[in-house]
Amino acid sequence: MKISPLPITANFLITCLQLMLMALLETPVNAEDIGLTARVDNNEISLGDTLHLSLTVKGVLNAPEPNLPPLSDFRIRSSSTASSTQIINGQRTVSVTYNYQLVPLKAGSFTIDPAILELAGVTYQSNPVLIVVSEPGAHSPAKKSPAYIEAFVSNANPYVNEQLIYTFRLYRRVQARNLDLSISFEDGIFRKEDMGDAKIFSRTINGIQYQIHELTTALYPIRSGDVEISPATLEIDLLAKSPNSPRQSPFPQIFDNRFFGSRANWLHKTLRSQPLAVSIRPLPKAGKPVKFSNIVGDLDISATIGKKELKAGDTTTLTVTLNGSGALKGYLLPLPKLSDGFKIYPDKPEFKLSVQQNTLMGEKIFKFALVPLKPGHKILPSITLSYFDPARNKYLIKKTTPISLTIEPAEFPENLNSAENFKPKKSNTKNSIETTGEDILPIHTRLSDFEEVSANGSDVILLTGRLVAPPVLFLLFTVYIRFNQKLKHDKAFARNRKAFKIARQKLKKLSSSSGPPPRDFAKKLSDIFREYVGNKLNIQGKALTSFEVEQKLIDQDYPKEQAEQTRVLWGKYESLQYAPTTDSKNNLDMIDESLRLLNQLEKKS
Amino acid sequence: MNYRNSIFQTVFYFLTAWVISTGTAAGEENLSRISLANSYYAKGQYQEAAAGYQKLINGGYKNGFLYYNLGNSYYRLGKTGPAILNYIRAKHFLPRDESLKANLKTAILKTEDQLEPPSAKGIGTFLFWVNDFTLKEQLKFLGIINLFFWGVLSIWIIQKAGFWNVARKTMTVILLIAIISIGAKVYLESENTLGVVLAKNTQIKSARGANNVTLFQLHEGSVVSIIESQNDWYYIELNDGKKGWAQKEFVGSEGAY
Repeated sequence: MKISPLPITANFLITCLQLMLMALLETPVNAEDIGLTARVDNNEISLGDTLHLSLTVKGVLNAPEPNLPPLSDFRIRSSSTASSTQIINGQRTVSVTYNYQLVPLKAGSFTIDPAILELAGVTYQSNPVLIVVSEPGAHSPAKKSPAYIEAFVSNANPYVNEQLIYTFRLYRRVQARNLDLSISFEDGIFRKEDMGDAKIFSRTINGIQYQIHELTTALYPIRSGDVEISPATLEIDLLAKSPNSPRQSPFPQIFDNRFFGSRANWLHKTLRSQPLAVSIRPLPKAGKPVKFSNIVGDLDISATIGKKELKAGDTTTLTVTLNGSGALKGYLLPLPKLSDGFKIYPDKPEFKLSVQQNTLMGEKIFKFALVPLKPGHKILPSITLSYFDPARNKYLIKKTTPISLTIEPAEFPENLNSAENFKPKKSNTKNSIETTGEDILPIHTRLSDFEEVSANGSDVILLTGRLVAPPVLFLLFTVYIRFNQKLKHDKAFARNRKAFKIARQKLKKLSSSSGPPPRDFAKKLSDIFREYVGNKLNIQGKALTSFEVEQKLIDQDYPKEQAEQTRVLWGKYESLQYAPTTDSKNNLDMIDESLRLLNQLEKKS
Repeated sequence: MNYRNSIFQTVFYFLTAWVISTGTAAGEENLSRISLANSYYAKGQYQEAAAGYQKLINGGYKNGFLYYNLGNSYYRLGKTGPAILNYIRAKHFLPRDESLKANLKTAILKTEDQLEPPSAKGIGTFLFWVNDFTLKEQLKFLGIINLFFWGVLSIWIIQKAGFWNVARKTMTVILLIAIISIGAKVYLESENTLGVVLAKNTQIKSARGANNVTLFQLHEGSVVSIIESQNDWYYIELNDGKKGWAQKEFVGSEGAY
């Protein structure tokens, strides 16, 4: 229900502007100009209304907050501060107003004593204010107000432990927010059970349509006597129209807000219900059963069995269900009295609540695991429940129907012993004992079994190797395959990759040959080098001139120095072809020089 | 080039030495201690046997059969709580050992409350095999599957159609299952910690502090799930959903092995 305020409001902006203006027009004021005034919005209010008290300090803007007088008959709900600066005919007047919302705590006539302001050693006092607080409804009937509450109980004269329904209702015909409900039931008088979330519905009362919020609680009196349920108190903000804007908006949900400039404002109200007198009757002594369950209400009991035919040693489930309007939550059903021929194991009871025709109905299910010990025909006796029915004003006893069981002999007779009831701790109740025997199996003595299993160095290396080596090998394999595929399908790549190898082989062959004619030697050397360059650059190298080779190498990002060296060597080949030499040493030097240059070019390629 | 080779050689020798040294760390001494403790047990000197096994465990020696033998020694001494705790610890290393399962059941049947370890839930139910294998076994399996997976993938690169395509997909699925299983195992071991009541009986409280309400009482050997550990208290849960706080001094945690 809370609505967060806008982060920046018009008032805030105005205050900021005022402060800025004040800073610009700061002028000293005289002590005679300073004054403190107390004002209220209404001198006569009802209990439940909120009183607005304003303390205005005139003549100074930076005055401390005045000290409020003791307000023991009121509760201060909230406070705020507003300042103003007025300039009329060049005369500037400043004031700061401290606003308080006071909620009266009781009816009567009260005087709000003067507030005190200490400023520069001078004490200023406000005027006293007389307030008359009347009981609700004294001024105006509650049912004509925009909202009112009521509370009532379904039965003002219940028995101890009898369920009575406490109903709280809020009637409103305007928008509301910030609802804060307080209902207190004295401990030690009632035990309460909530009956779910509030219901909201509409109803027309005296021609006026109200939205009604209804909250119900089931109460179970714990002791007898006359008691009073304290009034419920609801603090609420109600939407109120400004007197200047009487026109009702056709779409109040949409347009009655600050965004659309509505003049609607929220009034804080404290609504109180009437106290409720309840006279709790003790349960009658006459006719009270010996084993009375202490449950009051309209109840029913039933019992069912899982299997009616079973073997000795088998298990079946007895389910006993209690339901009705009594206080069943804390009730514990005694163990059914069965003959010695049964073991019985109670289960944790289940409890459920439901609301039916404005009554809180409970259902409690008790389950018992039954193990028959002997074969034969057995009767599970009826289970009784004694309770008090307030409608009939007498004690009643209800019984379940007896259940007959046929127990056949056990397939594998065991030493079932009824004397071991409630001690299911040793053996015989679990089949697993038969498989393991009554003793543990021996220790392990084979020393090879005792190898330490915590991870050691070899394990870590082996595991890392098993995990890392395969993908690494796979990667290498993939690279190899790709390389081979490229060699096969990309001729330029293949020529490039093979160029050096071919050239080197041919050069070696040339250097080892016994003695070709010099002219032929220079041509062969030139061809080898041309072939190398042609393969490297994927061109026809034999037709190139030395300058073209230099330019092509530079274009392929070879260092300029190497390109130049190639051109020079290329020139040497050509001049050697036309001016041959018979000096074999010179030939070998040419081969070495060629090989050196090829190595350099290969490194840079 | 020589410098690089010498680094590789040094690393190789270091690793080899490390592997050899760790491989022999278990040593003859530990085995002779186990043998001695076994002989104490055979003679009916269970106190001495338990002390012998315990000393090895305290020294950091981890072996499922060691915990098993220690559990047996405690059982013989009538200490069902420590016996069950050590059987549960042994189960981490011997998840499929039938003797261990039988002894654990026998020991639980000896207890007052007969509370068994919780059965698998959630991921443990879906990946039902996870609890039957140790983490080490699963890592070994992953290593082998990893080898096969990359091998198959290498062949598939050359021969993409037919059998090798099916083999690649199959190996991918198996590899993923192996990885997920390891993840589940690590998660289950970190999330599901069991505890065993070691005192004759202990009161389970509604909140930490001896003055809080006693919700229920557990007896020696009761197996519980440890949900949370705070200061001197464990927040425990029984198989039937009951929860409460138990003092650490009365409950042994399987995680403390």
